[in-house]
Amino acid sequence: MKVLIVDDELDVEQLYRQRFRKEIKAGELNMMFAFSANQAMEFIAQLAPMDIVLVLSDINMPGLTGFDLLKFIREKYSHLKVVMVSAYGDPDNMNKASSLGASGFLVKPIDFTILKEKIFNLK
Amino acid sequence: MEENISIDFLIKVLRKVFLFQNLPDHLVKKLSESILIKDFDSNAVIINKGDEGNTMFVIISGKVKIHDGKEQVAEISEGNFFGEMSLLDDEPRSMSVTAVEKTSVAIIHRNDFFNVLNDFPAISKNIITQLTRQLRTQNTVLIEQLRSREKELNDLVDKRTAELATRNSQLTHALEDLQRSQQQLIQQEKLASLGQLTAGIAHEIKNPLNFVNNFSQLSLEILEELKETTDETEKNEILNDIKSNLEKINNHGKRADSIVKNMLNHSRTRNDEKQPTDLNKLCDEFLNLAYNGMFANNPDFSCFISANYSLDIPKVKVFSQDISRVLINLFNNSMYAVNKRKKTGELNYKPSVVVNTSLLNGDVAIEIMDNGTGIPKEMVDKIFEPFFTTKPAGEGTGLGLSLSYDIITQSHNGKISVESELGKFTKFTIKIPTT
Repeated sequence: MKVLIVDDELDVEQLYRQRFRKEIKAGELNMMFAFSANQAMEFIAQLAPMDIVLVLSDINMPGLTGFDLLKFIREKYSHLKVVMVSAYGDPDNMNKASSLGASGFLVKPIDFTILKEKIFNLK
Repeated sequence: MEENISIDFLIKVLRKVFLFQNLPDHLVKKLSESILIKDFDSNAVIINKGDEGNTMFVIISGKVKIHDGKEQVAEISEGNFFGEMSLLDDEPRSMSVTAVEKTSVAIIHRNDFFNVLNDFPAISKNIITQLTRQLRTQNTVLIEQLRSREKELNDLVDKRTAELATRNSQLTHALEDLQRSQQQLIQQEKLASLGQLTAGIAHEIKNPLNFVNNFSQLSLEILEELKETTDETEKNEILNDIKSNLEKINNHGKRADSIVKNMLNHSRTRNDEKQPTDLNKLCDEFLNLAYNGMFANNPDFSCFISANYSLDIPKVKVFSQDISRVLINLFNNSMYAVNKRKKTGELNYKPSVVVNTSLLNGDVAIEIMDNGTGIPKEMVDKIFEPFFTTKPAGEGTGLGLSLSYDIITQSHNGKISVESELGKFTKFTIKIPTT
């Protein structure tokens, strides 16, 4: 199962890889990382309709935002689930995410127990 | 000669006059026969200064004053005479004479007077004596007037000086008040721009803080795993992870620390000395803060940001807090403008802010260009004036650009300029000399 993580902070990669070490080792999870919305779009365009099932995207990034990415995915790859991640858990952002078709909204710092559930419930 | 005044009376009058005291009877009589009598009401002018004069006057009754405009030199009455000087030197009248009360005078014509003088030259002595007396009296009066005038002038100068000193101290107070208000306004503007930044700063701090929490939590958990495992390879792997996590914790802690330091710097009054500063780095740091701040306050906000920093730029000695205030201000304005244009719902509008730096004729040039709402032509000229703002009440202090202008032009001997087209773009250019 492939998950694409989109965040402009490079260190999220190390964080996620350690968090899901067991799952990755066991081959249950394959994680990919993109550090901007543009890069994520390129990945998706190259890899789709391969087995990415979930995109976990930060909202606030330089250039295109997570919302731009969400719109892009909803228009072209409607089977992909997108969970938005943001430091701002305000209702405006949450409403906007759900109205644009996000499957979920996580507020940083991420509760990895919840994230794990979300990922594995997708199966 | 008037009918009701007899020659005898006139002889008596003339005899009383010092000038004619020792004149022989027949000459007094001859003189009195040619005399003309004239009456003047109180305040009537008898002689005007500057007039031609060929007569002299003997006061029969009443009182007159001899004066030059408002300056009175003498007041004389019955038995005295005046106007004799013009008779002697043939010059225009040197003083005016006005009746103080109802006055009657005997007028002696020049020819008659000189006839008397010819017939009885001894009268010259009287004339000289009389003239000397008059001159002495006038002299004393004039000196007194001069002294009193001098005192008046001195008093006036003292009074004016005191008034000026009061005025001066009032102005000094007013100036001090103004300077105080100006300082307050500058402080307010600093706080306002800090306020605009707060959301961005909070976001900036929250990110590293999350990492610190995540990595430390994670390390605790994998430490447990380390205890449980017997596999050497896995042990090594975990130990490496923990080491790397600790490095990350350290890095993100430092990152948060530097953000707080910058924030404090921003609100502090500036350093005494300019410090060599990497303007590219400063631009990038505050572009990021401005963007995050804008985003935090407006979830709908999105904007294409492009920054092209020239690597040719040397470090420049600047007051970095001041320059960062200018940058924040310009970045915030740009993002405000693109966001405003975006809200109009214009089709296919892509908000963008472009920041360029370059080395241009020995100046570092920083260009900040946005494709926002633009500035109307009639406002472009006023944009650097204090209290000029196009933002709704409460959103702008109207001081941001005027302070920016002062910071660039006065503190850094640089230039700041603006180009704009309504509905299309706005471009600010800052030039700071490298030397």
